[in-house]
Amino acid sequence: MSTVKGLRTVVIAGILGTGLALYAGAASAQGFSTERPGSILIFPKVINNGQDTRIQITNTSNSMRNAHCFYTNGASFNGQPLWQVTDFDLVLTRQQPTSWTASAGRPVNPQDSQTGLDPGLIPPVADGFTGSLLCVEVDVGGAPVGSNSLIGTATVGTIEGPGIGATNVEGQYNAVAIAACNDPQGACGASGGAIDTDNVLSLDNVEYAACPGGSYLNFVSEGIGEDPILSGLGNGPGIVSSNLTMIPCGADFENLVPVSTTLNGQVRDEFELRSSISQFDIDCFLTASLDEPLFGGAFNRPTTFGSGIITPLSAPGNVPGIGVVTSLWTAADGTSDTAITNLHFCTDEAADCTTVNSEIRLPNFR
Amino acid sequence: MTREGTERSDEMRRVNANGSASQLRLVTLAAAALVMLGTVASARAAESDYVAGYVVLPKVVVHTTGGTPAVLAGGQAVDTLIQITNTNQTDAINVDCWWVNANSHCGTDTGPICNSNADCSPGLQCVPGWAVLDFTMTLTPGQPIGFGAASGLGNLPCDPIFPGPGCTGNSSGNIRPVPEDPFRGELKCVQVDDNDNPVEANDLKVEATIISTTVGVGGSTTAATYNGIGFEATATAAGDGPLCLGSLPPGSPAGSVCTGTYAPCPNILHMEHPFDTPTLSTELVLVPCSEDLGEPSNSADFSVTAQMLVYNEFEQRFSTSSRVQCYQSTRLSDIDTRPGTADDAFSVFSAGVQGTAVGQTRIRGVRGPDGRLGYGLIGVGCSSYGPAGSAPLATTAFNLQNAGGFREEGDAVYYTDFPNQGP
Repeated sequence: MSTVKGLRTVVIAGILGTGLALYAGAASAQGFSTERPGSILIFPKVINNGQDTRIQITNTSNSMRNAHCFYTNGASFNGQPLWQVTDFDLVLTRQQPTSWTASAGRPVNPQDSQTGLDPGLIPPVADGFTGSLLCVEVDVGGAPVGSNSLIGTATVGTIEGPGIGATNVEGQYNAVAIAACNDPQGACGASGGAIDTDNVLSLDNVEYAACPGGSYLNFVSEGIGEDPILSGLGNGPGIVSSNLTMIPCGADFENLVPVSTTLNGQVRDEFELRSSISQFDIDCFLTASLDEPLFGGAFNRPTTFGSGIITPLSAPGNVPGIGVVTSLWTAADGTSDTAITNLHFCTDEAADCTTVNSEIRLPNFR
Repeated sequence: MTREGTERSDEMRRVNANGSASQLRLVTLAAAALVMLGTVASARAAESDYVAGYVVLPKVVVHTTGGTPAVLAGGQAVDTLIQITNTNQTDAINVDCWWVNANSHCGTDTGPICNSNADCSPGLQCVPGWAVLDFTMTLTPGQPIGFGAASGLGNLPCDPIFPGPGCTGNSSGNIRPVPEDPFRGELKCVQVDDNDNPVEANDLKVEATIISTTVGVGGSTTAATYNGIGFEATATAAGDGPLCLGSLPPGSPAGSVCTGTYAPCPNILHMEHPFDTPTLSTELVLVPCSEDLGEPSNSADFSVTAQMLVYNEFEQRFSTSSRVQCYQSTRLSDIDTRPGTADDAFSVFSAGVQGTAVGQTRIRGVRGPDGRLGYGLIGVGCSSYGPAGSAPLATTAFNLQNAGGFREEGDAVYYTDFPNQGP
């Protein structure tokens, strides 16, 4: 009988295991999204340096929601990241959209020109600010909650108006939303569980979704000369240059220690020629032109177009980057515009995109 | 009454056996439920930030100096750069694509291209059109390509007649340019095997950049990028049925089989946007998830009602609706008013009406009579900066977000088996 029982146990375990594995495999690694609401929003590129950034956040639920947000200044001084953090609170009624510009913030003043329900006092960022914004869904007391209600977009640029020499550039991207797992039927799959109320938001597919293992990007090769598309439209030869903005997937707002990570990757051009992206570090924030020596010339390809995968260097503590690419299209007469692209998330293990656990530590006020 | 040990033992064996059988049945049911839950959980709605097996670019526009009519000096020429990547680093993939031409024509589908009756000779109506032009390609491992919609790509890099130093295999294909200039419409691409059957693989990454510039000098240049909307492939089956987005639509003919099953369409599209002003307007492009690429007339006669809820920053809610027939590209302020800028001030999408700078709009395809096509919608948004009636000074494009899970009623994309390469 013990043998039969043992065999039965094995069979039962096998059946359950198959079901669980299939379920877990089916629903894993989809908790990061630029299209679905989440409980953490990340805006990797926020600037106030001649160009401004308009942030828009919406509460997509039918209940009031609170959020605690952190501007992080990504500037460096003498090679050291400043890691200056400014935080503020938002209160959004059901289905309420709200917006503000980074340069002006938003006061709580029903009499001002910024009509609508003021979501809270939002400070402006300083002139020259280049950094990121992160917002976490919390309860009234500041403890994290996992309602997955927040969605956001950012529009970066400036409009000076018509006229020779005027700068008119605008680009828009969707905020990266990280889902709270909540339960095994949630965005994180079978490992998903309830979030706890401490100040450590674990991005581990238990509390919140884990970080995707990498990012795909497509680009027009740097230094290729004329871009064939813009150049063919009748305004002379046009050129394209692109800039990558990335922040580490993770943050430590409690100890104010900038999260650093080392990334690398590879690039292929249209003739399948491969090139490695040199290891490069992100100390809290990175913004760099694709033709900078930092990338080892990987994006200077002999063909017009290329694609790349950026992944964290396989070493303890390294986390993937989250970012956007900004491309500046300039025609022969000097007129130009920018286009910002959300990077695709890479979850293909065959491409070395293994999900990585990380965390966001909030200041512990309780 | 005392029972014999053997009898008691027999009874115990029967009870245990029955209990074990019940236990096994319960476990099997639990496992099956987990599998089903897994299937449901894996049916995430289409999205634009992961690679996929079927990808749609809802907005492709072309109007160049070579068009009919041509863009003249001082006018704004536009083209769409398409970038397609095979993200599979080890295997080549085959891709079948379709240009979906949504141009309207005066009188007949060979008449002059028009936007409204005012563009046509007296007595002729501007008739909406819907036509399909297909092409196919093979991409080598990890290969990216780029081409303008206006020019296509005659020979792919790594094609035997266009070899390169790093090519490990042979690409192939002839990417045909859009069939008309000017052009407005979509691009749809699906990953297939050597026999043009859908495969359960997700290696496609597609993005579009809409570029415009003033012909000559002294105007403006605009660029706006959005990611292709990707549908994850989850299953395939033999047969000649459609691609199913989620499942077969409820009214599908009996015996229909999905040759490819993909992620379902979003249930509710969500768009964050500024309300329209005299110097800033947003265009909404919506296309049905379901289409008949094999018999375009079926799609031309099919429409989906888009129900819209608009919220401003005061949490006030308005509603409106629109009819999406094959393809809809509309300024927000033209959705509920007459086309043109004259009535913009009266639109629920106007900042003057709403009283706030920004809002959110939730868009849902309303389910109609059950048929072989479903009622899902996908789309993108584009904002234009500059005085109304003039060429824009700058533009942005953005993917619509998904606020309502996925559609439980399925959608279907019917297509022909072998794309016609043609000259």
